[in-house]
Amino acid sequence: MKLLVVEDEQKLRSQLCQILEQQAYKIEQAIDGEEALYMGLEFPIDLAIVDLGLPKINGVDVIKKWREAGIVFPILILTARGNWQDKVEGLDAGADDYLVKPFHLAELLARVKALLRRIGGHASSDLIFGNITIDLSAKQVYLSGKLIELTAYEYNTLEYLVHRLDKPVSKTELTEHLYDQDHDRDSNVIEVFIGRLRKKLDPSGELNPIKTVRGQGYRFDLKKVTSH
Amino acid sequence: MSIFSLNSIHGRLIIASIILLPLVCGLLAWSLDKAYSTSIMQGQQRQMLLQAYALMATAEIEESTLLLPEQMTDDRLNQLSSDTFAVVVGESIKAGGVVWQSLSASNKLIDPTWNGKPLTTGQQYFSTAKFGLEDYFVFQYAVEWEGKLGMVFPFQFVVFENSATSDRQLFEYRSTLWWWLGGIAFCLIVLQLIILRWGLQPIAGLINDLSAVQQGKTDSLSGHYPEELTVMTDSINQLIQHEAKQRERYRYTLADLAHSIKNPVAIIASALGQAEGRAKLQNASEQGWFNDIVEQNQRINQIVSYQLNRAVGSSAAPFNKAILIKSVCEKIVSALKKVYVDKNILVSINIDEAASFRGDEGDLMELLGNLLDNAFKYGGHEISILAEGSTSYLELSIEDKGPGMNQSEKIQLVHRGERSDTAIPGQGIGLAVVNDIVASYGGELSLDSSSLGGLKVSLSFNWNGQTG
Repeated sequence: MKLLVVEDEQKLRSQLCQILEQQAYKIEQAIDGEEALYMGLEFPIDLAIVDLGLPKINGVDVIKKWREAGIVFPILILTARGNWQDKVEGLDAGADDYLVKPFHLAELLARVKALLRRIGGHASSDLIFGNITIDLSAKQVYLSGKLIELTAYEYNTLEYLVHRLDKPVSKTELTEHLYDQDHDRDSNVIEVFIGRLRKKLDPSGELNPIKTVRGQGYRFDLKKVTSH
Repeated sequence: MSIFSLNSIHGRLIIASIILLPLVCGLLAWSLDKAYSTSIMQGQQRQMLLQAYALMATAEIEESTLLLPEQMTDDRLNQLSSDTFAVVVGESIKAGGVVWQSLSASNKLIDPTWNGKPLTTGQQYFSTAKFGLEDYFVFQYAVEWEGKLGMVFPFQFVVFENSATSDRQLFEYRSTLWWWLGGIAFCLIVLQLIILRWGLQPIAGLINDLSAVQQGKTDSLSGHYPEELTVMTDSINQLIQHEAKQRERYRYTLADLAHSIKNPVAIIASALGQAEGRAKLQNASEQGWFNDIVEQNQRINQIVSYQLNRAVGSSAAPFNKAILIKSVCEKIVSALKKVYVDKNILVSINIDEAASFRGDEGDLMELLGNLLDNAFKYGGHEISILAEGSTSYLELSIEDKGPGMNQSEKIQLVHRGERSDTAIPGQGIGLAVVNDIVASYGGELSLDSSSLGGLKVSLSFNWNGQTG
C-alpha cells in the first residue's frame, strides 16, 4: 500500500514516515501543498495523510482539487488547531477522517488501517475467507487458525488484492503500489510473490485463492465468509 | 415609554411645544386685545371730543349766563332713553354746580360724589366712571368764555356715554379672538406633533436598525439616514466591522499559536511513542523518568488544547448575528457520518427553521461539534437532535442510545481535561469546552438520561437578557 504523507514540519514528517514504513507501507512525502497536489494527481496513492496548515496551497484546497480531479483515495487530515470549523471544512472538502495533533501513534495507525479497510468495503479488521483469516490490524494471516509466516511484500501483495476483492489487479498496478517511486521495478518479482503466496495460503492446491486473469493480472477469488 | 417622558427627545419636544404654543398664543391674544381696546377707547374719545365741540359751537354767553339751545342737533342728547348725555359746569367742578344739562341727562342718576377732575383751561380729560350699576365714559373739556367788558367765564363741558356698547363690542371681539387663537393653537400642536414625528423618524429608524443588529438579525446599519446621523451610523458600522475583524485576527493568531505549539508537542509525543516501542529501558528509575516525560508532554498538550479552545470562544459579543442552527448542524452531522461510516448511526434531526444561535459561528461549531462527536463516539447507533427557538431563545438537546453515565461521571465530564473512558481517543476536553462556551453566553448545560436509553445533553440560551 502506498501512502502519501503531506506535512511541512520536517521532523514530524520523518517520524510519520518512519512509523508507517515500519508497518510495511510504501511512503511518498510532500512538504507543501503544491508538491502534494502534484503527487496526488500523478502517483498511484492508496491513502494520503494531509496536514491542513501547509505552505503554498493549504491542505483544504489540495483536497478539494484532488476530489475535483476525480481522485478517490481516502484522506486523513491532521490539524493542529483542532477546532471544528477546520475539521468540518476539511471533511466537507473531501477528507474521510481527521486527527488532532498531537496524536498517539497507535491511534494514527488505527485510523490509517480503518481507512484502507474501507477501500475494500470491509467493516471489520478480521477478514475470513474459508480457513484463511487475515487480521488487517495486526497485519497477520492465519490458515486454519495457524499463523503463516509472510514477508512484508507478500503480505502487502495479499492485502492489496483483498482490498480489491473480485477485481483483477495488473502487475503494473501491484508494482506501483508495493514499491517506492524510485525503486528498480521488475514485474517478475510480483510473479514470485504470487507464487509464494499461493503456496503458503493453499498448500494443498485445492482453494486456488489467487487466480490469474488472462491479460489483466491477478484476482483474489475467495468469498468473504463473515466479518465481525 | 410615555410620550411625555423627559428622558426622550420626542417627549421633551412635545412638552416644550405644549408649553410654548399656548404661551405664544396667550401673549398674542393679550397684545391683540390690548391694541383693539385701545383703539376703541381712542375712537370713543375722538367721538366725545366732537360732541363737546358741537356743544361749544351752540353755546353763547349772555349777561354772564351760558345759554344753550334746548334741542340739540345730536338727537342722542335730546332723548331720555339715550345712553349719551352732557352737562356744563361752571367755574370749577368742585365749587360750581351744573349750569346746563342735556335733555337726555334728566333721568340719569349722577353720583353726587362724582366731581370730575379739576382741569386748567384748554385741558381735556377722558376717563370712566360708575353711576349706579352702569359704567360710563366721561370726557371733560375745560374752556374759558370771554364775555362783554372782557370778563372771562370758566366752564367745563362734560360728555357722558354709557360704555355698554363698547364693552359688548370688546366682548364679542375677545370671544372671536380667543376661539380663533385656541383653534390655531390646537392645529399648531397637532401640526407640531406631525412635524416632530416626521423629523424624528430617522432616529426611530436608527433605533429599530440598532435593535435588529443587537438581536442578531443583521450585522450592520444599512438604512438611509439623514446627513446629521450618517457620521454616527458610519462610526457604528466601522466599530462593528472592526470588532469582527479583530475577532477574526484573534482567531487566526490563536490558530497560528496552536500550530506553533502543537507541532513540537506532536514531535515529542511521536518520538516518545517510537522510543517506547523499540528501546529497552535499563531499570525502574529510567522507566519512571520516561513515564514522567510522557505524562508531562500529555499534560502540556491538554493544557494548551484546553486554553486555546477557551480563548477562541469569543463569548457574547455586542454585535453578534443570529446563525441558523439547522444548516450548521446538518453540515457537522454529514462530516461526522463520514468519519463514523462503519458505525451505521441513525441520526434524526428535528430543528426549527427559525432556531438560531446569537453568537460566533466558530463557537456554535465548537458546541455542536464536540457534543455530536461525543454522541457519535459513545452514543450507540441512534442519535436524536432537537432544537427550538428564535432569535431571542434557544433550547437544544442531543440524545443518544449509548450506555449513558452516572452522576459522578456527569460532574467529572464538565470539568476540564477529564473524560470518562480514557481508552477512547480524544483530548478529553470537549464537554469542558462546551461548558465554558455555554457559560460565556449566559446559557445553561444539563446532562440527563435520554428516553433513547443513553445520555441527553441539553443547552438553553435566553438572548433577551443579553445587554449586547
